[in-house]
Amino acid sequence: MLPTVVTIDTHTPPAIYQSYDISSEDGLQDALRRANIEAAARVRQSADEIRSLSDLTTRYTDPSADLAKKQDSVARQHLKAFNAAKARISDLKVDARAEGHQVSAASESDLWAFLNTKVFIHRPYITLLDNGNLRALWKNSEGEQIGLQFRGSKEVQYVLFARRQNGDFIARASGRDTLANIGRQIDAHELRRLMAE
Amino acid sequence: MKGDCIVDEDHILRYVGGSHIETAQDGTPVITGGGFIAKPKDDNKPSYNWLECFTGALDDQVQKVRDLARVTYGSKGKLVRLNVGRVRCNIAENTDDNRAITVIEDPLDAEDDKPADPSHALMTNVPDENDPQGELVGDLIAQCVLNVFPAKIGS
Repeated sequence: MLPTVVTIDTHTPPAIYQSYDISSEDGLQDALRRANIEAAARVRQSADEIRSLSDLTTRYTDPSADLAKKQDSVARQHLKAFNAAKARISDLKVDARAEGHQVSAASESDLWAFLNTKVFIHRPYITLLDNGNLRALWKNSEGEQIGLQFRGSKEVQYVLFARRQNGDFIARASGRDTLANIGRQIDAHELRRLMAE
Repeated sequence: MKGDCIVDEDHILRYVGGSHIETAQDGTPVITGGGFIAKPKDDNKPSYNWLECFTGALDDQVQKVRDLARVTYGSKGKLVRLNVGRVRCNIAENTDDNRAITVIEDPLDAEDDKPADPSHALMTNVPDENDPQGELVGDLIAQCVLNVFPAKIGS
């Protein structure tokens, strides 16, 4: 009786099994080993021709389950970071009130508008400037950063530090842009990874 | 003497309020650039304290700054130590206009019940938070932090 496990790799030409006696356990294992080696070689050779996740595997895996797991993990990290940001803003408001200052409502509204539309898994450092505006800062140990002061009226003042791939050079950019366009500034400097990787 | 430049080898202390300080995942304080830029009342010259003005060990110098402070330190505030030359160099090298900042002596005379503060100093040519260059300068100064001390002992 032929074991059904032989069909695990639907991309393997049936001919490969013809030189093995798959009615025995040893023959079957040899056939599978050979099939896996050949499948891996084919994936390496045609890496640029991959059309589906199933091309990448010879194991029993469900690509949609992997994707769902990844998305679930990102969603959980995002939620955790989002809630931490919320708690930080709440603390800043309490501290500001205690010291006779206040957080600009327009600035806070713009910060939330930004956080609500971006996927981030690291919470930003959030500080209160002396003008009442909130500033969000993502930074890493490489000296890179995304610094965004939410000025209200859908305007953002930014300071971006981005390390270039070819050495020690760090590009530095500062200026103002609209809330709607600030994501493009971040992308132009390839810094979104500070928020989401 | 008032107006004299403090040399690059020396160190300065800046009081940074709690709203500019965050906490890293490992619990260490993260001093952000907003704590170093000028407020409108500073006229582009925020206040610092010159540590080498006092003799003694570093902790003693910091304590003298605390003793003579004219601002009320917040419970979450910190005193941050910087090297003058490192700050000047980092700003000059990383701003489009090769911004030249200086740190000058600005001793305060005794006033009412407040004793004189010979360590008071000013950092010049520092833009404020409403200027994108100001935030850039603040972030560049934040990269130069050497030590962080509690502003209030016991906090």
